[in-house]
Amino acid sequence: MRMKYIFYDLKRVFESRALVIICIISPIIIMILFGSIVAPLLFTAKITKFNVAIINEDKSKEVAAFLNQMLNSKALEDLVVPYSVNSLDEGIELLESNDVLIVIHIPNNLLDSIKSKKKTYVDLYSQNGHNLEITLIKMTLNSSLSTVEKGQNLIEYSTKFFLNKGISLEELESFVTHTTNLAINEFMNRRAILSQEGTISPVGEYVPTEYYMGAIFTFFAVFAMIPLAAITSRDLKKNVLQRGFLWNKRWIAYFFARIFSGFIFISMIIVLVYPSSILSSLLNATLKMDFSTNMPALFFATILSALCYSSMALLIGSVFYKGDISTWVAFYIAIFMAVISGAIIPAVFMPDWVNLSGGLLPFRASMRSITNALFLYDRNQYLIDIYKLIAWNIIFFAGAFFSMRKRGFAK
Amino acid sequence: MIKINKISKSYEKQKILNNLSFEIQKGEIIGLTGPNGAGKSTLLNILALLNMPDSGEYYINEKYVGENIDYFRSIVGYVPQEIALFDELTVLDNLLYWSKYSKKKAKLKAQEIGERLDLYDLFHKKIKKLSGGMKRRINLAVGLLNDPKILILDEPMVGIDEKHCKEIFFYLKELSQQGITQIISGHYAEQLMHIADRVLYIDEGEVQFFENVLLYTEFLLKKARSAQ
Repeated sequence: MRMKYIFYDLKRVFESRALVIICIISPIIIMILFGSIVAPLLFTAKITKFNVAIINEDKSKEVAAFLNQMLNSKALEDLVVPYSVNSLDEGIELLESNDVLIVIHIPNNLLDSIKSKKKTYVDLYSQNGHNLEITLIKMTLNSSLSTVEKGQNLIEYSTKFFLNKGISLEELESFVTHTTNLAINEFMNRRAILSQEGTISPVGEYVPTEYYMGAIFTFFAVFAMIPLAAITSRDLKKNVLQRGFLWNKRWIAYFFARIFSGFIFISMIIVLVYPSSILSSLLNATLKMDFSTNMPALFFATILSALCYSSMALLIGSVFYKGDISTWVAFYIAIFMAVISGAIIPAVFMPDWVNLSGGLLPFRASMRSITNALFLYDRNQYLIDIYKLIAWNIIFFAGAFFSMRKRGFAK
Repeated sequence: MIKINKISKSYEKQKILNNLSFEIQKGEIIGLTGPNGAGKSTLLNILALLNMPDSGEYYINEKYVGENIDYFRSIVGYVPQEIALFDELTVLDNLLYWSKYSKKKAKLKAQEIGERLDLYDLFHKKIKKLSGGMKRRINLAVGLLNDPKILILDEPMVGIDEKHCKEIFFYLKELSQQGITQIISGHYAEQLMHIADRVLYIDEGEVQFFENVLLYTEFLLKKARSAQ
């Protein structure tokens, strides 16, 4: 008998095919638009600049030139303000006082390692919650070092070739410096080159997209509450209730059926994050990036998020059941959560108290746990967000349960 | 079958029903009428066990309804004035959704009622695609699904064409012969006179007339004369 309620509830929720299709494909369309148009604008705006402390223990002029090239590249020039510091301790102190977001530590043997074709390491330090910024720096550094390493063989061969041809050492040094700079510069300008050609491939613009992937999917999952809250409040209006819709413990069957169908509806919107994560894993493998997608973690984060917003929709629909108010309440709650949680304006630019409040909401927990599981699996941060989601699930589930119970009793 | 003893109900300090008492026998069809604001809907809500009176008692088969409200609700069929159906589902889905029976029995019952109320052709159409009159017939069909012993109908004929009205009246008469007690509210006395055994006229929360339908015209004439 209970299956009947689930079956018909699913039929009702998925009745409008147009709505379902729009809900499912919207995150992808928005992600492409965001990745190719909005994010580059946002990330080249002056407001988004952040401070980076650099400890360069390798005093060679080549490394200095390399750093200069990297920080003035198209990828980073409008984004970072570099500060040179003398020691790692000083850098960490600045990091802890929030004066810088990232500390880059270049070891004293970087150039030697490159020349001797050894594996090169640069240490990066940041606080939790600055995944985007550290990704940007990490990827640019990786790309630059990779270019330098690969270019080294060619430059060495060219140097020997020109020495044999009788070219002077000064001229050769000038050639090597110029060629290395040119290689880095061309590599760093790839975003501009790709944009000129009209490419919207994630290869060109995937840095902002990957960060916003979690935000966009969470945004649409939260927005899916609106039709769910609307259909719930419509059910709880006088006429259907008068028919004994929620009598004789039918309300329990209705409650679980609606939670389940809401969960399926929201899951269908978030499910596209999986092919997206496979795509980014392929990019990771191809481009040797530092992603670490954790599929079980992603699965768990999406399940908890879908359940959370399904319960929340039921709570809104059953509390604000009069008139059409539930639609608007759900809409404003979704917008409020998205803004305060940093999905629209990066959290780092918000006042501390807003940032702190946003951190308590389920939106930030969903967004960050999905992003974290997708790209930069940090177990501790992930677990904190998952605990928050579990807590919100309990709150919304209990709230919706008692609200529905109240609706099920005659006055 | 039904005994109402001195029930009263107020909303926001305004007395809607005032010490109302009457009895209805098994299988009777009662036409409930009265002017706007007389308390008809409040009385129907109490009879349908949607609301409880502030004071007084309601008995069904000599048992106080408050003792086992879930059971009594299961034997009362209610057809609200407004359409109480799920727009997104088909007619058949609605009939199956509201049925208390297993799928097989629910289908048989839906087919039986569908044939009686001329709904069979509409079974696979979505409610939102139907006309107002069609929806009213399905609204009524849902109220009949679970073999109620008492049927409460709040203005069930509004918007239904004459042909289908006659069919519904005929069916309700048949149900009455099977022992199903019915209380049908309506603004238009002529409609109720076609079907009702007795008419219950209430005004200002009190019973003004509760007699055989044949005496109702005389009551209305007296009322009109006294108003002059």
